[in-house]
Amino acid sequence: MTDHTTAEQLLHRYFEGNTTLDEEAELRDYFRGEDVHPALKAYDPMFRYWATAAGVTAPPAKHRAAVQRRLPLRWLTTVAAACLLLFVVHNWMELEPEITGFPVAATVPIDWSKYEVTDPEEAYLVLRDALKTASTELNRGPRMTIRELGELKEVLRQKPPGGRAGELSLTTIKKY
Amino acid sequence: MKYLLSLLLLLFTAPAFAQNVPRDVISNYFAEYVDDQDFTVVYVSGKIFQLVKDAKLDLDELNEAEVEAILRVVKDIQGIRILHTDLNAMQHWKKAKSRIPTDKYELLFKVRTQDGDNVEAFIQDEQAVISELFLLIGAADNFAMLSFVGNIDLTRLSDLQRAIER
Repeated sequence: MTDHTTAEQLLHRYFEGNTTLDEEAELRDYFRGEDVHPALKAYDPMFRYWATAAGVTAPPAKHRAAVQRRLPLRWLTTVAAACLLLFVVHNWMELEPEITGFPVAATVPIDWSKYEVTDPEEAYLVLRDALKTASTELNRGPRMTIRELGELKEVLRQKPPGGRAGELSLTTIKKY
Repeated sequence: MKYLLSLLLLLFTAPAFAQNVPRDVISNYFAEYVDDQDFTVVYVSGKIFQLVKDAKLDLDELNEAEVEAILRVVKDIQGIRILHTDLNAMQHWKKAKSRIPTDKYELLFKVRTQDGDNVEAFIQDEQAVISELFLLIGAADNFAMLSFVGNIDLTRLSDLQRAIER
């Protein structure tokens, strides 16, 4: 059993860091005992804490699988191949020639420069005639529609025999 | 991976080149008429419009207001293609009508007169802008196709008749 004087000397050396493992064990035994000198009581909680802390064990670590750092190349390749396939199919469908219901000869690029008008005066005359035709036809279309609508309006305004204005009878329809 | 990305890039850009096809109805659907000797073929490119504007035209009865009105209309037109024949006109008319792809070309109007003249106008639009106006004209002794490619303003075009007749 370590006495008070020895314990005090060991304590001094303990704080200086000069004690051996056996001497530290001796000190722990001393403070674990009931007969601690009142002058050394101040160090009692510290050694009790070390004793308690020594019993603390870390909780068992959860086992985690090692993180895979490599790129999932196989998966990426599959996705890329699927995208490519979809893309190619889509483009192919887009470029599918139109079906017009009429036997159209294979389209070859036309060299329009052969037919190009290069003389400004001639070009102007062609231009004027083409635009005049387009303009006349553009105006003729609505004009005819308006005229026909006007005629229809007249038909609707006809007062049928025995009927009211705005009413159409079988006779009126037959008449027109 | 590097090669895969290059391949993807190539595939994405390929359709842009592949779809670089003529935009006019005549080149696409009536190509063989162009080489047909029965047809008169005329092409006026957008470049010549600028020349017309710059050149001092020496024409009889040239009306400056008319020239101005015409140039205003052709400002956004990239080209005009005309095909005309007076042989087998009605036969060509019937054939041509059945070849217009109605999913791409919208019928603007059709006119049939008592004399048997037929006119049908079609438009092709891209994002609400008319990119081509196509007129199909068929009569007993005349068959013509007129294609105007470019940004077409129908209002200006229809107003042009007044300017020309003034």
